[in-house]
Formats: sequence, structure tokens, C-alpha cells
Amino acid sequence: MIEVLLLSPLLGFVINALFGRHLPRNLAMAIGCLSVFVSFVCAVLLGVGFIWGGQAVADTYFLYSWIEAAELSVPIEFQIDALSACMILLVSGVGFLIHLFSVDYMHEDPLVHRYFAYINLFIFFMLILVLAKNLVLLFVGWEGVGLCSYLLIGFWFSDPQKAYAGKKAFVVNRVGDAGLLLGFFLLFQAFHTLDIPTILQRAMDVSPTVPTTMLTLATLCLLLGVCGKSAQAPLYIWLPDAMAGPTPVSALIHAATMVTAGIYLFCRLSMLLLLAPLTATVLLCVGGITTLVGALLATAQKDIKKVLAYSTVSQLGYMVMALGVGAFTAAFFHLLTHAFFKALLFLGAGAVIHGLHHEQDMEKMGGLKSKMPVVAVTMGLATLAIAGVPPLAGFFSKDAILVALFQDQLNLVPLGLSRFMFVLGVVTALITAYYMTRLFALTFLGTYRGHAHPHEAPLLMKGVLVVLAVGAMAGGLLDLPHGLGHGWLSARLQPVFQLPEDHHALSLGIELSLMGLSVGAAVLGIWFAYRRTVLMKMAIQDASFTWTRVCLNAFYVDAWYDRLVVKPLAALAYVFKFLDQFVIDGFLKLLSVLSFWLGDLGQAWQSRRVKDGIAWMALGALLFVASLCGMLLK
Amino acid sequence: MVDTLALTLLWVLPLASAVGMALWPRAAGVRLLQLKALGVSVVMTGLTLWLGPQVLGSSSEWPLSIQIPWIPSFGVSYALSLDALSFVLILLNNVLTLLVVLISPLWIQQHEKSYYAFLFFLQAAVNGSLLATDLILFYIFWEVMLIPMAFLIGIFGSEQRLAAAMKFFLYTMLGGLTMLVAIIGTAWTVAGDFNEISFAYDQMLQFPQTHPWAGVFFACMALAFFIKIPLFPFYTWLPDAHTEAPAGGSVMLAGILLKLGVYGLIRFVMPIYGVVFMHSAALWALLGTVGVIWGGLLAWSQKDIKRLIACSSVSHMGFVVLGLFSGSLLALRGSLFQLIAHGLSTGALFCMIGIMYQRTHSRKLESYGGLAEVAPQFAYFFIFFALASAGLPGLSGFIGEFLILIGSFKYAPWLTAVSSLGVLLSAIYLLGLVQGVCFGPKKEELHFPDLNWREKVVLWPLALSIVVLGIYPTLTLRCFDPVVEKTSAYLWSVPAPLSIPEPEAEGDINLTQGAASKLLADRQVAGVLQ
Repeated sequence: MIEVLLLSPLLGFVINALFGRHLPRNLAMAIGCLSVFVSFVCAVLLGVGFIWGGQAVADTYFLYSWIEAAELSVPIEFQIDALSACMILLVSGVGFLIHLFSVDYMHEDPLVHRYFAYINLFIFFMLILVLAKNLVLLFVGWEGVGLCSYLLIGFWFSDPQKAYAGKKAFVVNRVGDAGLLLGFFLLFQAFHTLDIPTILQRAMDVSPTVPTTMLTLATLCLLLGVCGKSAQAPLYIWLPDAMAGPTPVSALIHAATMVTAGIYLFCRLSMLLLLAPLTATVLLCVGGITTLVGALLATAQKDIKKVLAYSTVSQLGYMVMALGVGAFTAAFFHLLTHAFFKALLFLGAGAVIHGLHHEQDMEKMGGLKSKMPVVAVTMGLATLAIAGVPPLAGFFSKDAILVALFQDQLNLVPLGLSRFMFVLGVVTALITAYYMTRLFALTFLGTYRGHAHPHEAPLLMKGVLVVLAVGAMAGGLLDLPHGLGHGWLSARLQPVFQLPEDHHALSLGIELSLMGLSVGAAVLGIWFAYRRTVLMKMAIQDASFTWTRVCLNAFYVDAWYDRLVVKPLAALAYVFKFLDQFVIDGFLKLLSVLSFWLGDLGQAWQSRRVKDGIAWMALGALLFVASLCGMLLK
Repeated sequence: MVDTLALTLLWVLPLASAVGMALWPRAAGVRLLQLKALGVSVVMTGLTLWLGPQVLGSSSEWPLSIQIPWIPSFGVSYALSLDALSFVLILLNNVLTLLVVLISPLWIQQHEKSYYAFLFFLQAAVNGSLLATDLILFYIFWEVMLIPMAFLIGIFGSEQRLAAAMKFFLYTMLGGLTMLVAIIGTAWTVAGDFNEISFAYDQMLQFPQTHPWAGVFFACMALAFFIKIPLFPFYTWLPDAHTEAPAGGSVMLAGILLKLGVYGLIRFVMPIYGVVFMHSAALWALLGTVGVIWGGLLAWSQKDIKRLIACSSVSHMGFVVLGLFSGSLLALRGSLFQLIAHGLSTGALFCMIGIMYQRTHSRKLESYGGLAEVAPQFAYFFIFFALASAGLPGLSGFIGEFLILIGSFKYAPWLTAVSSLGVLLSAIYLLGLVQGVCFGPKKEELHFPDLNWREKVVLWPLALSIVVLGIYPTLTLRCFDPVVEKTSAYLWSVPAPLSIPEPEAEGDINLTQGAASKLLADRQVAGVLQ
């Protein structure tokens, strides 16, 4: 079963990559979609025991022994527990929907077979990532999804800007990957294995043999990898540029699945984080900074996809904050709901872009609610969901994170810090509501400002949007807060995280007032944005407005990176080139002058003709062979 | 007798065909010449594969071995042996030669006779030096190897070919000469008396490791191999040689010639001068690490595609050196694996560049662009090989690099951490290369037909073996087990320490002290017992 789950998208990739050119376009697209659908069915069958049956013990699947060398043994081995069951359902399910959406979105593209080949490959690697039982295999998936992301961001490679964006994403991710690799090395040194369950088990041994500093160092290295993949400060800069790819790709890779791999990794290794409070603190700060920066940057963007990109950065920051206080369930819960509403937002934006013939500038939108009602309604729901309006999905998951920050049950981080981050989370919730409402209002309300002929999305697109909208509405039911019933997801994930039971749960009063606070923030944000964009009819500020300029330049972070990291490194490369030519090689030239001078003495022997060279060579060989023959005869 | 014949054929057959090529009547036509070359290289590959089961299935130290006195008065014997290490490299050599012969008709349109003659001459010399277990015989093959390569560069290369050929020749010759000094000195020390002298491998292993001259001999012999690898700072011949060499020559140079340096270190330097080797290991590991970063940064600043890949070779071989000298058996395995992986991926990249050069006669990065649109199949292969070279997991390059890094980390954490940046650098320059060649708008003036069948026949086996080695490396890794055990038996009297030492707070440099002194003690005890 697990073989089919994995090989089906791989087969789709192979067929489309090798023979796609010769296949009819519809067949190529059908193969792409079908292979993921098969995966989805397998995922349901594999995950049913964990999701519905409440199975607590993980299933493991051993395929073959991959790397066997000295003390290192890495098998191709997968495991399914509640965590990875949720992930494979998410990846193959949302993945399938986005494949369907792509059929309409990409149908005009001449290289559609290549597109489907790449996203099939992505599904394959993403499934490997979430199913891997050891860290090396996880790394295969980790790099594999990075590769697909690279190929898909630069899918329209004729545009150098887009190709460059792909390269930037890959290189920035590689910075993180270098850290991740070091983290793996440290873990291997500490635990003598890279098998995840064994590492966790040894980490929890009653008498710890591994010093905390080692664990802290290792998790900090992993943190760097997470910052790369999950677009956290200071490595988030690749994600906004990644919007160069086709919009369904942004929905699948850069919103719902790949960018959450970092969150998944720390959920997987939750025990290590609990043993390394310093890393948890750093994680909390990184998440806090990212969530605020992302939200602020989203407030003044013009490009509809850029708003969503920064919003993704910000929402990932929430999840990372939750990890920082050890609220893994809350982080994962938000990961799931976010996958629904953010995929919906991206696909809705894709439908708009498709309907406006590849217009992404919100200045040239407006009033689209009458032209594309289904898109407008589903997008509106998603906007309310991400803003945190009850009873939509985003409200519950965000609230779970805020409660966790307020409560700080595990005391991993200084109390003041977690309270501060709670305040920051509430403020960000307000900003989130503001920029999402602004996006919605600029796109769908008011009057149309562009010159294209907007048309409603085709049937398949609409269908996908509606399905995702259901998820964005009802996703919150997965894990209701204590006050309102029982946490279904928490119960399922309990065997994975093995956190202590919630002993000192908050009283209903405090919980309700926290909810009220976050709803209040959301309503305030929505009202503020509505007042600005609709009532006051303030259009987008142009670049003469300082805040807009600063936001459009992404706080000049890229420019500073360029100045402080890229340019000096490139300069260093040229210094090395100079050293190579003049110092190391110069010394040799000196020697060679000397030897040429000596060589002049024997010039009589030299001949420049090729034939002579061969003749000498043959003669030498002959002598050599003759001597050997003599020896053999003797 | 079969052994003698088979081992001798491995180098005599290509040598004989080289002579045959040179004497080939011009009237017979080029087509027949190409067919003959193809026939010979197929036979060579077949012969090697036929030997495979005997070599890999055997548990003895030298599965196939012959030793016949040759010049008894000087103690020189005709000694050839084949074990897993030399077998794998010979296979790599013969397969690469086959592929180069296959694709060469597209690249070489004049002087075909001498081209194929030199190619087979090179093959013979490489096979010979991988087989030789008499140090003088090894030295002869080693030095002879320079001649065909220098001619290949000097005749078939581009504008600056003569200078590059001369640099290559002199530089590597210098290493060869110091090696000869080391060989004679070592043999003499062992024999004690010139009349008793012997250059047989087993004899050389008796070298008293704490001899006052051990360091000198070590340096002299290792220099030859360091130049060949090439280790920082002895690398400067490589970018020139690669840039000017014809594509086929570059494939052979990157694919197999560089590997001979590592082979020499493992086969000769490590066992004969074990103590010096271990005492100085930190320095060489450091130079390897410098090479990783230096080569990577150099590659980044190159505008010439061939030079870029040549510099990336310096970087990749730096990993191999780090793995060799880290003192970890895991890393040693990684280094051995990396030899194969790097030979395949870099050989393939040079093949791609040959294909580009044949169409456009340009090596400049800026003269390309948008090939993914013009020649999609070419672009697929190009991106694939670039990713393989960058060590993408699932492909062969990753296994080698990962084993090297995770193994070295135990003993040299700081050097390994710095080397990990090489992984980042390789992404930067290789993706820069991919972007410049395949992406961006297509150049109107660029006439670039997509791959033809002959090119695909060459590229597919390379691509498939990179994938197979990446997802199923166990077979190859197991091949190296006897080699690693043999080497570790020389270096450590006990197999690799499985219990991992406590992490040392600032312990990057004293990486092998403990093992070295242990080895020293063991040898002294053995001496007393005798």
C-alpha cells in the first residue's frame, strides 16, 4: 500500500517527463491528476486507523537497506502515526485538489506536461518527507521538495527574473540545509543513530547521557534549516520572490505543504525541543519577529500574490511561536487549518488572475464580486477565516496558539517573554485582519479599475474552491478548545507528542476573555480596513508614501543582504581568483620560466611534429614490451 | 596463467590498439577506424566485467595477482594485482573510455588516428598504474600516463593548448620525480643493502615507520598524489588543462585521472608511511577543507564554463581529501564512493560542455541562454547532471558527501562544519551555471539543435548509473569493505572504534593523535618480538 502511495506520483512524473511531449495534452493532465488521486486513496486507507480508529502505535514499513557503512545504517523505512497520517492526507488531498485546479489554470501552457511532471514529483518527495522514519530519508524529501520548488518557481524560465527567483529560493534554502546537515551530524554523534524514534527514545532516557549543550547546539542547527524551509527570519526573503511561479504552485508548495515542513520537523522531534529550552526561546523570538514583520509587510503590497506570500510568512511565524512554547498540537492544528484557508486564498487569487488574463496588480482590480461571485464568496470566507472570525477554522487554531502563549504550560521560556509574544500575537491578529480585508476589498468591492474583461472561473476551478471553502469553514471542529468540548486532534496526537495532560487548564472565564480579545482584534482590523478602502475610498498609496515604499522594498532587507552578504562573498570570490592567478600560479610561472631556460639546452632533441611524437611513443612502448617478453620467455 | 593473461591484457590490449591506430593506413578510412576503436573499448569493458565476479566474490587480499621477476638485478618485478579498489576504478576508466570513443566522432574531425591512439594509450597507462604492485612498474605507468594526456591537450585543445599542456606535463612530472626519489629511498631503507633491494609492494610495507627519513619520503611520495588530486595549493594546472583540453580529454581527466591521486594515497602512502600519515593528517584535512571553499569560490567567479567545472572539481576533491584524512572509516568509505560519483557526474558535465562546444564553439557563459526552450532534452540532462554534482539527495553525489561529512564530523567538527558550506557554494555556482545556460530568454543568434541519438546513447547510461548509485549504493559500498578493512588494518591495529569518543570542546586538530601513538606502540612491540 505504501509503495503504491509513493510510486504512483513518481510514475506520473516519469511518464510525463519522458513521454509527455508525445502525449495528448488532456492525457498528460489526466495522468498527473490520477496519480495523485491514487495516492490520496492509499493515504485514506493507510491513515484510517489513526484518524478514526485512534490507533496509538505507529506502523513501520521497511523497504530495503539503503546506506550500510561502518557504524551508519540507513534503511529506506517509513512510519505512519497520527502526525504523518494527517500530513499524507493533507498532502495528497489538497495536492489532488490543486492538481485539478491546475488543469484549468494551465491548460493553455505549451509545457503543461512538464508542469504536471514537476508537481507529481513534488507530491512524491513531500510524501517521503512526512513518512520518513530516519533523518537521512527525511532529508531526501526535504531537498527533493526544494528542487521541485526551484523548478516550478522558474517554470516560466524565459523571464530571467523568474529563473532568478527560483535560484534564490534554492540557494537560501541551502543555507538552511547546511545547518540542518550539521544538526544531523550532531544528533548522530550524540545518539549514534539517525532513526527518529530511537533518537527520541534515547533522548528521554531517565539518566541522560547526552549533555544539554549538545542537544541545544543540534536543535539550533536544525532551527536554521527550519528558518530556510519555513521562511522564518532571517531567511524568509525567498518566499515573496517565489511567487514568480504559477499560482497553483504557490498554493500547493508555498502555502499548504512544503513551507510547513519545518513545523512538521519540530513536531516530529518534539522531545528534543523540550530538552533544549534555549532553542525553544530562540524559536519563540524568531517566530514572533517573523509573524510581525510578515504581517506589516503585507499591509501595503500591490501585488495580490505578494500580500498572500507575506501573510504566509506571518502565519508560519505563529506556528513557530507555538513550537517555542511547546504547544505542538496548536502549531500542527494551525498548520492544518492554514493549509485549507491559505490554499483557498491562493487558488482564489489564481482564479482572479486567470479571469483577468494574468493581471496581478490590485490597482487594476476591484468590483469583481459581481463578475465572479463564486470566487468572491469563497475568498470572503477564507478572508474571515484567516482574520480569525468565529466559528471559522482560523479562529480556533489561532486562538489555540494565543492561549498556549498566554498559558506557557511547560515553562520552557521566560514567562515575561511568552506574555510579550502573546501581546504581539494579538496585535498581529489585528494587522492580519486589516491586510486581508484590504485585499478582499480592493479586489472584489468597489468598482472595476482595470481594462480586461473579467470572467468567472471555469467549473473545475469553482468546484475546488468550494471544497476548500468547506474545509476553511469547518476545519476548526478538528480541535475545539476545552471550554467548548473536547479536542479531537489533541487526543489523536497525544501518543505522538506524549505531553503531560492538561492539569491546570485555564478557567472558562479566562479562556472566553482571551477569545473575546482575539475576536475584538479581528473585528477592529476588519473595520479599519473596510473604513479605509471602502468607506473612505482610499486607493492604494503610491510609492511616494513612505510606508508603502518601505513595504514594497520589503524593509530593504534584501538590499542589506546584498550589501552585507552577497556582494562581499562575490568580491571574495574575485579576490580568490586574483590570488589564484597571480600568487599561486605566479610562483609556478617563475618555475616554468626557469625550466624553459633549461629546456632550451636540450632543444635539439625536441620536435614539434605529431608524427615524431607518436614514433617516439611507439618506440618506447616497443622497448617496454620487448623487455617484458624477454622476461616472460626466461 | 589465466590471471596473468587477463591482468596483462588489461593494459596490453589498449596499448596494442594504440599502436595499431597509429599505424592504421590512412586509406582505410575514418569510419573503420572509429568502428575499430569502439570494438576495442567494448572488449575492454567486457573483459573488466568478466573479471568482476572473481574479484568481488573473493575474500583474499589480492583476488587476482601475478609476480614475475623482471629486472632481478634491480629488484624490479612484473607484479600486477587486482582488488576491489583497483577493479572499480578500472571499470570506471574503461566505461568512460568507451563513452568517449562513442561520442568522439562528433567532436574530432581531424587527426583521428592520433586521437584514438592517445586515448587508448592513456587507457593502457591508467589501467597499468591501477594494477601495478611493484613500485617501479607503478612509477613507469604513472609517468607514461602524462604523455598521451599532454598530447591530447597539446594537439586537440583550444587556443592556449600548448601552454596548458606544458604546464600540465611539467607540474605532474615534478610530482612523479619526487615520487621516484621516495620509492628508491624507501626500498633502499627496507633492504639495507643495494643488492637485496626490492620494489615489490609487500616489501615496501616493511618500511620502518619511525625511520628518521620517513617524513621526507612521505612528503616526496604524497606530493605526486596531492598534485594529481589536486589538493590546494597544487591545483593550478587543473583549470588550465581542463579549459584547453578537448572535451574527451576533459572527461578522462576529471573522470579518472584525478582519482588516481586518491588511489595512490590509499594504496601506497597510507600503508607505507602510516605513522607520518596520521601525525600530519590534520594538516592535509585542513588543506582539503581550504580546497572545498577555495574551489567553490573560484568556480563562482568563473565566466568560462569549462573552467567553472574544473574549479568545482577542486572543491569536490577537497571533500575526498577531508574524508581520507579525517581518520574515520565512515568518511573513508564516503571518499571512495565519492571517487565514483564525482567521476560520473563531472565526466557527464564535461560531456555536456563538449556537446555545447561542438555546436557553438564557445565556452563563455554569456553566449548561452534559454536552451531549455531551444533544446529541452539537452536542458533536462544538463540540469540533472548539475544537480547530481551539487549533491542532491537520491543521486550518487549525495551519498559520498554525506558519508564524508558525517564521518569526519566525529573527529574534525570544525573542518566539517566549514566544509558543509561547500554544499552551499556548489548550489550557488551550479545553479548559476544552469541559469546562464538553460534559462533566460533564448539567444536569437544561437543555433542549437537538440541532442542526437549518439549523444543520448552516451548520456543515458551516465544518468542511469548516477540514479542507481544514489538509490542503491549498498552494492558499491560493500565492494569497498575489503579495501577499508585492509587500510584500517594498516592504520589501526583494531577496527574502527565503534564507541564514539566524548565530543571535545575544541578538538579539531588533534584528530588522530590517539590512533597514531597506538599504532606506533604496536609496531614497536612487533619489532621487539622479532
